[in-house]
Amino acid sequence: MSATSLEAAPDQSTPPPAHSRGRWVWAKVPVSPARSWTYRVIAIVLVLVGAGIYLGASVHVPDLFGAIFAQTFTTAPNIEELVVLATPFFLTALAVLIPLRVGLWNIGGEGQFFAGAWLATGLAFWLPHLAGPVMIIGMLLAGAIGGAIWVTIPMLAKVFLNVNEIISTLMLNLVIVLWVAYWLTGSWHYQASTGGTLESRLLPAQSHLPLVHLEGGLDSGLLIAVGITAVVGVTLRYSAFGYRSLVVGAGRPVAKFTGVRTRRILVTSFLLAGALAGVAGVLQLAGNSYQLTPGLSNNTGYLGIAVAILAGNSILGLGVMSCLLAAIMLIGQTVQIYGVSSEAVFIVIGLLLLFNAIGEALSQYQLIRRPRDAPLEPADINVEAPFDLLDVETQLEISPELADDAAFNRGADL
Amino acid sequence: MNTFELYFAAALLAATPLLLAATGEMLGETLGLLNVGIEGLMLMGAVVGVIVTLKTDSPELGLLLGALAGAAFLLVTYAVPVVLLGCEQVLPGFAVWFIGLGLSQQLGNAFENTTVNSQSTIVGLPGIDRIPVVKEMIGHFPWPVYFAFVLPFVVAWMLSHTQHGRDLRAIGENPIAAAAGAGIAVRAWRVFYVGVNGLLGGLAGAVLAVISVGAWGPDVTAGRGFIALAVVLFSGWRPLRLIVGAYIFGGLLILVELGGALVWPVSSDFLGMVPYLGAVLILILWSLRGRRYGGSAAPSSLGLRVAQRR
Repeated sequence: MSATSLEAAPDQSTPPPAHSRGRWVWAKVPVSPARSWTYRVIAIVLVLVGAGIYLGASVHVPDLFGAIFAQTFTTAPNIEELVVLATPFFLTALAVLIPLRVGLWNIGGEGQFFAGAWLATGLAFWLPHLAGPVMIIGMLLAGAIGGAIWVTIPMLAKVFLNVNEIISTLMLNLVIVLWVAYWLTGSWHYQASTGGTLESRLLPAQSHLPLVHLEGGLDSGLLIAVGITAVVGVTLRYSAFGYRSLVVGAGRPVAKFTGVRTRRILVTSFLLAGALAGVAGVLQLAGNSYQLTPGLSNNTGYLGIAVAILAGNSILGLGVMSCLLAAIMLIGQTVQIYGVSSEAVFIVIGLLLLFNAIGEALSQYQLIRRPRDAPLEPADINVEAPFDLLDVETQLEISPELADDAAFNRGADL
Repeated sequence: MNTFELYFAAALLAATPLLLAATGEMLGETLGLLNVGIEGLMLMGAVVGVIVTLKTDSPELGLLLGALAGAAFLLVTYAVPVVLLGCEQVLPGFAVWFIGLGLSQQLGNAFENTTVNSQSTIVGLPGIDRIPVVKEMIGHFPWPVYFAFVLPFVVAWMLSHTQHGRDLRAIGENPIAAAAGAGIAVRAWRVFYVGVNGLLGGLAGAVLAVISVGAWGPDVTAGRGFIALAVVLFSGWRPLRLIVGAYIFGGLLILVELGGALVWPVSSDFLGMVPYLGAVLILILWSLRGRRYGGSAAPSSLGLRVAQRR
């Protein structure tokens, strides 16, 4: 022990007075999934309770929550409506979750949704005489292709030129809205629409998805969505692709080191995401509205971001969160008659994201007591790169240099 | 006033919110703080600006309170989680976007499409009336147009010629060294500049709604927050280039009106796409150029999670 630390050591014989025993500091604790999930569930419950209290305080209706519950969850048609609302969330959330596993943000779910719906509508109008099953399968394929095409430019720009994918995917959302509006005012315009409403002609009858249960309008789209989600979930969990995407997400040097072809994984993830969002558009189109409208997505492309984040890379969580968000949207529709604006749902969902992030951060830290005169440790100020913001270009540039680096190659010998 | 002068003036006005928001964002990014939720921030500034202007008949007060509302909003939703609690940065950014979107519409429901009068904000540059063409183009504008134009010069001077500016860049490059080595109050300055970012973003929204559009509408920003983010990337974190970027996109944003006025044989839907497609295209071209001339000028700690626990 050096002389300086001896001097700094407190006198062992007399206990220090209580007020100088130390100070409370945030200290990092090992990350455990259970701890993280606990904090995040607490965060979600806090937001929902807060929203409920606000609603109760601002809307003066006797037995408000009883009425909401009765109008939302009790009858079979209502529950079917909930399930119908949840259907597109499964796929638009997967469209965010898959790129997130490799560390990239796909904010363009909304655009890919419309691109898929647009191409499928085009197929139904241009080839109106296809037989039912052929038509439906064709539309689903068209949706997947449309969504994948719509993500191609941001994907190529990100993978090969490192263009920020948050901005590029979002910008294309705004583009497709105008593109759809162009077709709806032009050749697909529904002549019988009232008051200048933008909507397309009705799709031919054989393109409608068969209904499973007539009463609440429950269509087979849910089965398709759940089926696709299950297949994708199993693929991500057990296939080589799923494993490699996690490796890429862990950092590009890691991927290089393990010989994973980073670009191939990034391209596949983005195309898959776009295709799934496009299929979500087709399910909504052929299962629900039977015509292309600007409001077809009901913001599910954007809200899918929230579902994917709250689900935290878990397919089961994704199912639960899809239903939770659908319930929030349904309650939002119910309380609109009490003067709450339809967009208030976004406040709740924004708060969910915020509290989820805070909960995730808090779960990594704990208040501990540290002696007042303890020296500043390097770990007291801590900089870390989260997996999702690692820069593709930097990583790709570092890797070839690292490959020649002796220290890097020593690692390979181990 | 001929058509060219008229649309030059309209482009300046359309570019002003972009320039204000982008300057604020660039200041934040200089300290390593990436806020992707400028859209929500601008919406909050816009709705508060319009409501205050309608209630008090004073657009100045509307702009001021819109800016302050933006600062308060961003401090609560972004500074607390990111700077004080050490959260990851993109998620609180999305939260800013979503909460701003929902809250602004909830607040602005009753004021939708009520026009506001902002004539009193228009000032004339002294002595400009003696110069014939220029006076029409840049002579008489609401003061935020001039303020937004001057601001990047002030920021550029501050960042490169003052000790405080060097401190800020040090924080952005290496927060650990800045705090432990240079003794800079990293956390305090980060909170402060999140506030500045909120102030300018809120002002940008208020300028857009109160002066450019003259009314509150649910989607009054129409993606301008994200275009401002693209302007910052375009600038390569050099304040003076923000002016170039903002005016380019300002020019693209008024193409719809220009096409309508000149009866161009192009659908207004396609003209409306131009700024968004232009943003993607410019980022791609800029990236190609960056590949040729060397690496990124981004602050090294941009977007990284910094938890300072003492």
